[in-house]
Amino acid sequence: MKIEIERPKPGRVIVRLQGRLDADTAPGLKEQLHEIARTGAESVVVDMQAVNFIDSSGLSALVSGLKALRQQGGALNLSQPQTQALTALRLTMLDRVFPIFTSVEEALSEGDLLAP
Amino acid sequence: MEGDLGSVFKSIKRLWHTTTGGGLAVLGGNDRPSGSVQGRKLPAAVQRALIEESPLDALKTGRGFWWVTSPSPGLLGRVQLIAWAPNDEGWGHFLQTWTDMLAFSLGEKAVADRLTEALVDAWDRLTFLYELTHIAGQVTELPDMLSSVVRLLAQVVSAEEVFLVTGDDSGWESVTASGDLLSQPAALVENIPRTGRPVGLVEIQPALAQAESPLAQVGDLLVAPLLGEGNLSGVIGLLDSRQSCFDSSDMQLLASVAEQVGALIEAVRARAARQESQRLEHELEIAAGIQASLLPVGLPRIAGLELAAYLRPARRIGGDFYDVAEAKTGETMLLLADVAGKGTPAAILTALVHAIFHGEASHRRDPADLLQVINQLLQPDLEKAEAFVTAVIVRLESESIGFSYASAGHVDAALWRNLEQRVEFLPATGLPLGIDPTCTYHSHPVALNPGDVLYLYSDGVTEAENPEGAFLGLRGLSDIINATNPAQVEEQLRVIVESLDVYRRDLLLRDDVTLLLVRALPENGVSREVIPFVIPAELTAVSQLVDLVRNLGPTLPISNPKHRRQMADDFALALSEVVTNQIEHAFQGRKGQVLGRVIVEADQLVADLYDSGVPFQPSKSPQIPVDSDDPPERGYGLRLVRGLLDIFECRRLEGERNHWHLVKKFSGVDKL
Repeated sequence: MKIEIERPKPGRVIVRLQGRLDADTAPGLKEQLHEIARTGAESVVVDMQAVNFIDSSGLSALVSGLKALRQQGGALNLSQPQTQALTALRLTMLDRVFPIFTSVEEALSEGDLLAP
Repeated sequence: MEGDLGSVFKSIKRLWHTTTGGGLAVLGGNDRPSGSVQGRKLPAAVQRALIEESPLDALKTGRGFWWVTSPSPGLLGRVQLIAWAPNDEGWGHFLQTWTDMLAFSLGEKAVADRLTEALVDAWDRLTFLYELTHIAGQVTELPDMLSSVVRLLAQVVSAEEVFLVTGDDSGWESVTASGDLLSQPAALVENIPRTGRPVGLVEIQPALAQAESPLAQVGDLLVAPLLGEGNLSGVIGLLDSRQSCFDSSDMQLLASVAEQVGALIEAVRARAARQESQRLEHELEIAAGIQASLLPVGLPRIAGLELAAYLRPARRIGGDFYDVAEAKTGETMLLLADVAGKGTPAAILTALVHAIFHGEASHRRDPADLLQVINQLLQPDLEKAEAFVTAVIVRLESESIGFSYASAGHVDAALWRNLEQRVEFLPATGLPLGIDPTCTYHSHPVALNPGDVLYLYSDGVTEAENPEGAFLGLRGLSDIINATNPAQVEEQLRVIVESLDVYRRDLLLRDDVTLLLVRALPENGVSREVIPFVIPAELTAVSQLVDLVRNLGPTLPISNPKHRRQMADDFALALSEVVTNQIEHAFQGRKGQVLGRVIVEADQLVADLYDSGVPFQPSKSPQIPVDSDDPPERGYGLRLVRGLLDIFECRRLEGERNHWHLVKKFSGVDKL
């Protein structure tokens, strides 16, 4: 799993993922999301376009990141999850927890609207 | 007097130049350094060493190596050698010896007027050391080298006998200048201090007297240990019937010779060991060639049966082979044998067994009868080679589905009973071949039912060893067989071999691995594909399984390609959840392997997984909906598995194992 972090402007973070998000790689993502939460981001977009497989450990890492961000008053949005990830999100009802967008730009502008 | 010294110095310079290609200057008495050596400017450190009269072992400069040596404390004369050489080949200790000897000779002159004799003596000894370096370069055989050394040494020392003792703990032998044998050479080796320096009679006499060695009674004795990389490879020494006839210059010389000879012995032995290992390597290659050439090119096609074979030779031990012969009556005879031993002798025995098997199998129907004949015919050869052979012979019946077998001390063959879903073992029916020429063997008939599988194998399978030192054993093999059935034999073979690799982890293959499988084909009807698998119980390995299942997508019997992919993805996710749970909870960090199979049926995907971990206790509590304001961080695995699968069960098997059963039906999609 490759994790790339981009900060287009203050308070906005794009986390681009590539590969498998499973029990082997999820702890790394969780740590990254917590690190981002510590530095006080308002809006984080996890770009899921290149995630070809996600399992419950991957979902847990996203939830854990979401909660850490919320505690700091931030938000976590998902962008472009693929079919396999959508199935996993739907079956766990997490599709009702994460705001899901069809592009990173859309997810970012949503963050702008929500920002005070 | 001056002239004598001058000519010796000149000779030393010449000797140094021929030996090293470098230059040398000798400073005796109160001479001061000239500031250059043969036109070369002295480096600052060399200058400083000369002025301070301190030794300088070696100084690496851009142009080579420099040494300054000065006399050891306690000697009377004072000589400094300044030397230069293009390369450092360890000449330093020569210089030190030469300096000491020259200084000693000068000192002697001050005490008694023996200068000329002393210098001639010193010169002889220098030449000797020079010659020694030549011996090192030329002589290939250790005994030749050692006798050259004692002969040469006898020419330059005033001693009645020069001796050298070499060998190892299994025995010590002496070489002497006179050709006489030294009595009790071991007593010298056992009592020499391993400090590297020579010892005189006074030091070693009590120990020699204790050992009742006649050497305790000699007039004088000097002995030095021969050391190479810390190992004691022998001693070198001088002895004489005159009392106190050896002096410090003899001791000096002996120390220097011992150092060189010790290194030489080490080098010659290392070379011999290298040659021996190359020879052995070559022999093993030949043996491996013979072994491979005797294997059957293909396996026979027999109606109602499916056969597969595998042989993987280990580097060091090679005596496994399998063979197939057709009897005149149409039956097929299978042989799997393990010749004890390795290399060429084992390969020759293999060839003999092969020849007898082929010669006799055509007209003998009974496996026990065949074993008996091989045992009798091989007896003389096996006895000569002090070897034995374990073998199992199977006759596949032509008229009915079944076989009879006889086993000469071979490891139990395994039999998968498809109806009962369990493994049986078929024990040996007689002693290994080569133990008792009168041994009687027995054959046992065994019926094969559809789906049953016979596994002939060598002990390289059941004695596969993991890094903790535990063998796979019959139990481990049963577990594998249990997981791989009812796959086709080629698939089963692949997974058994993979399982051995997973089980051994990083350990090298220590014994040959040979397998021969015979499967009674299941009755036609249910069309399905069985894919057995094995992965190490590590999270990084789970993705292999995910890929395996996802790659099945395009082959699933579902009409819509999108649905095919979706079905495979869903099943892969469910399987991944179960295996991850197994690894994290059942194994609890222990090493191990996850064995199982995926089955593609006409209307569903099925997976069975086996592990030897702690029992699985799924939470019985109903799934509560996820609160979107405060979602739980864990517990999604079971939700996914229940949401994705139609059947999900885990049952405890005997032998503290878990069996996980996963089913996903192709319902809601158009089947082909």
